[in-house]
Amino acid sequence: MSETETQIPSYKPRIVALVCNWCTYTAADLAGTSRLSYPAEIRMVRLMCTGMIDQKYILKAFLDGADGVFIGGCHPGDCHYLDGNLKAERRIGGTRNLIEQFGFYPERLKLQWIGASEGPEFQHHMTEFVERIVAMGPSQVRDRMIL
Amino acid sequence: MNQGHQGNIETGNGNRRIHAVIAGAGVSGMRAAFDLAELGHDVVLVDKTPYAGGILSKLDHQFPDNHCGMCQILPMIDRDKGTQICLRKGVFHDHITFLPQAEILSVDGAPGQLKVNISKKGSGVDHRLCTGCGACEDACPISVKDDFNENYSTRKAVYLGDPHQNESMRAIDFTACTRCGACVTACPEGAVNLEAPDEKLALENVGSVILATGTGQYDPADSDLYGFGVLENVVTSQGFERIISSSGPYKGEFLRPSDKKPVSRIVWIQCVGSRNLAENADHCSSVCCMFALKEAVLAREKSAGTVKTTIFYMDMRTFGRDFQRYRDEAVTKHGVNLVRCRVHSVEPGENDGDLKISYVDPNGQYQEETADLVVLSTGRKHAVVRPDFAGKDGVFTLNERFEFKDIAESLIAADVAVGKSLAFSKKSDTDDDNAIGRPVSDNALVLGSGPAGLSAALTMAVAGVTVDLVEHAAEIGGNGPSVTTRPEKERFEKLLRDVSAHGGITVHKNARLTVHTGLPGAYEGMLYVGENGRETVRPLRYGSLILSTGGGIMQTDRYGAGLSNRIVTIFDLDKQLEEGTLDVATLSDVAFIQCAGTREEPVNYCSRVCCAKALAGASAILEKNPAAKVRIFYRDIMTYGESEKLYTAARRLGALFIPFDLDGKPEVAVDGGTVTVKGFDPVMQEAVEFTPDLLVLSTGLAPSDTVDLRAVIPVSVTADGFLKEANSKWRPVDSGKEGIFLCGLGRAPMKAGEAMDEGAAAAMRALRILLRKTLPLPKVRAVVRHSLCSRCEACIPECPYGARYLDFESGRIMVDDTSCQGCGACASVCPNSSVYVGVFDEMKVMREIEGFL
Ligand SMILES: Cc1cc2nc3c(=O)[nH]c(=O)nc-3n(C[C@H](O)[C@H](O)[C@H](O)COP(=O)(O)OP(=O)(O)OC[C@H]3O[C@@H](n4cnc5c(N)ncnc54)[C@H](O)[C@@H]3O)c2cc1C
Ligand code: SF4
Ligand code: FES
Repeated sequence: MSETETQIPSYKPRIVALVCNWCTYTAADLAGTSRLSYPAEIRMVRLMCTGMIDQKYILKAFLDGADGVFIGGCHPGDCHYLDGNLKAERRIGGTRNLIEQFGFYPERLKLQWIGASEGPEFQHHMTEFVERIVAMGPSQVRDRMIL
Repeated sequence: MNQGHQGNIETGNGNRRIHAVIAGAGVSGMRAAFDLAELGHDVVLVDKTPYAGGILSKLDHQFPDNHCGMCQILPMIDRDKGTQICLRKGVFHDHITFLPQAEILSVDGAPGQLKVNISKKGSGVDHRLCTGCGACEDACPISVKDDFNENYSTRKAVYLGDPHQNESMRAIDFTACTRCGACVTACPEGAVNLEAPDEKLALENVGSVILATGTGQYDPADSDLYGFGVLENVVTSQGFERIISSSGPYKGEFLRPSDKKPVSRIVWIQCVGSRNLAENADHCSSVCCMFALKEAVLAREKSAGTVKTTIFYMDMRTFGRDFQRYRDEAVTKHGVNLVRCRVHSVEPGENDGDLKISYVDPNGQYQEETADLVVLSTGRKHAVVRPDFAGKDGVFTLNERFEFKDIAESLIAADVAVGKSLAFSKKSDTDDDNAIGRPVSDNALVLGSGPAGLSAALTMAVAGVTVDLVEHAAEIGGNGPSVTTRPEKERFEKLLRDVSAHGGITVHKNARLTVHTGLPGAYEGMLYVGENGRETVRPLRYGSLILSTGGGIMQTDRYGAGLSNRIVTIFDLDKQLEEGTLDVATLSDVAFIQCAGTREEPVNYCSRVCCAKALAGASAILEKNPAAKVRIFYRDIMTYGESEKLYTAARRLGALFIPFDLDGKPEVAVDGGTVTVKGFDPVMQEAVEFTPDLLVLSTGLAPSDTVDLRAVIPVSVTADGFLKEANSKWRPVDSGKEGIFLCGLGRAPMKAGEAMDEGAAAAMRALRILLRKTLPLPKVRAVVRHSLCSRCEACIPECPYGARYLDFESGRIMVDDTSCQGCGACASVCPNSSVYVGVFDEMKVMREIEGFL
């Protein structure tokens, strides 16, 4: 079971970004202060660490109609809590399989390391992700019984 | 959020007492401030720049792991008093008043009651009104070179000193401002005031002053070396760090300044402004070799291996514990080229913007190389002017000799100064000590009584806690009595006397710890003492534990070690010279082999002490017997810092230096009474052979065996058996477990003075716990809902701080609230949702997500 690709003309994707408080949030702020604009569709949830991200959060977002979930954390070795990001990476690998079973394209879930000084990278990855999701079209979750 | 009490600081009278004014908000100044803040002391932190962070704010990546991690110096105990946020954004803590653009003018009075005058430049922006919208910056018509980006980009006259900084921290650069008033009109909050006067603050009743103003940096423009200032593509290391930074002038793109063309060949030139007698710089700046390696590795990584990187050096000084392997990897894994040579000149190349570097290679041949970018590894300033209050009672200077230090060493120096400042302790009446929390034992346990352990014990005892000092051996002192260098020898001897005389320190000789349980602040242990054939077992209670287990001389069988009485170790020679038992006059030919068994696998680290000892020994021999031939076979002479002077002295006295690498090690043969050393002289380009009367092997240092100890105490070791710290840059004397600290030779090879400093630093970290009456409960911490917990124990290995454990009495999974940092790793593995982490309750996060969609 999988989504069908439909392009709605006035389509504004709904994207949840779960970002860690230390590096990625700082990069987002830096992008802001440096006037590097990124798509307004992104709704950011700030958590202390990507290691704190429960699979439930990701599933919840998709089931509630998110078109994409972006997870941003510190580069390996930079995590404020030593290796929370590596734990997240392991777990999110599993979550990708899980959302596929639920009928979502795994590409709708993205994990990206963004360091505190990487304002331009933050802008770049966010823009790219939104473009990817726009190209994929809206998630069909609300119209279809995929559970 | 504490925005640093901008402008309206209290004067130190009344109920807020200022324990210390700290000058310099680089990493060491911040560390000193956080240490004191964690103890509940109020401090004022001033910096002459508009931001905190010093040099580090300009570096995205720092060796030896090439990551950042600056946030790891934030207080770990009582985290609620500070803002949990990246330090590049600013210093926000209830006990810290940060004053940007400020300097200390004068310090008067007696320690404990100092009068400190501070001048603070007006920023022109009222930070209490500013919302950080940036309208002023958009409106400003002035554009000037951005010194944060080493002048490779421009900024407005109203600007953020550091682009990461909290947006409401903009300031006006009044040297560039034309007072046109565009920003005043633009600001919707009325926060801009172009008349902003400079302020003078008179702080009274201040405990002490800590000078953490760092080491000024050498400016190659001073001596127009290698075309800096004329050839645009010749940059300093700091310039390069900005060029490769994502927040830098080219937004992380790899371009050269002259024509913004992509860079494909980079050359580093080492020791610019250091190790240069013509410039009266008879010192090594200690960190430039490592940062050049780092910069080259970053260049290779960022360009996916397409940029060619070459470092021209004299000695590659990778003397930190894990730095030799870092260097090896830079070459073997990342493809950085290292060329030992002397650079003759840098000139314009054939194509516009290119640079031609001429040098003399190790074989004495003249060579040329073309590059897009030449990075000058500039070290520290030659001389730093100290303020006249620097030597005053109650004023502690972190870096007396203004040596360049790496991050870990800078933090250690900060902890040492903080420890000294406790003698003039000032504490405001706050609720800290009445907070509900776990009570703390004010007794400390120190294992190992070498220079580091003694120093740790004394620092804590002076601060008012009692100490149990435990020693395996029959006497205290460790390797201290073998120290021959001055002033370390005198410093050690005084330490030994002071410890023996201090009533607060109980010494246990012939003793070992056999049991260790409990939580930080409240440990229990069992001491086994075997004295005079009598064996006793003693229970101990302690709030913190310091491991200063030290080490000894590295044993080797290489280079004929032990095969002849003409072959001795550097430590034997050192002792004989100190005791005057070596008949120097009869020696006609002496050879030294450096790194005899070290800096190659499996013992791949530098021991830090041998080069200095070998050079001092060579000089001592040549002074008494100038006719003797002294030859030193070496790979890299590691005379970092001021010890470079020993190298210069030995060369002047006529010692001969023969470099070798691992493919061409000298060979030693012993035949009866004759020792033969064969090697290759690269300058003469010929094989050489000597029969020295004395062959000295620099065998190096090794850590003690800690296998038994590690069965009792949860600490780990490096590949070489050194005790491993939580983070080698940012938490050098913390073990991975709160409450347990490490110092001295057991942690890393080091000189005695460094070990005594590390002991004091570890003591300071331990005092963060010991000087508290209770350990508070932070808001963001993991809490177990026992009714939901199925005791699956999945969370226990997941916790990076070892905060989770199964309590055998209650049969429950428990969290140590002090060790827990609230990362939530446990919550995300719990199959029963039995964990919640402070304000990040699962339901709350779910609701937040729901709200967005
Ligand atoms: C190019 C380069 C790369 C480096 N890379 C690394 C690396 O990768 N890893 C590593 O471990 N180390 C590295 N280092 C070394 C590292 O920078 C130092 O260890 C560290 O900066 C020392 O910190 P500090 O606080 O003692 O001094 P600084 O960082 O120099 O801070 C001193 C502060 O004091 C302020 N100040 C000065 N005078 C006054 C005054 N009179 N009143 C008020 N404030 C004053 C300054 O503005 C500054 O903020 C590098 C250094 C350089 C130059
Ligand atoms: S894993 Fe849990 S117990 Fe350990 S630090 Fe993180 S939140 Fe605290
Ligand atoms: S703190 Fe950023 S990923 Fe852990």
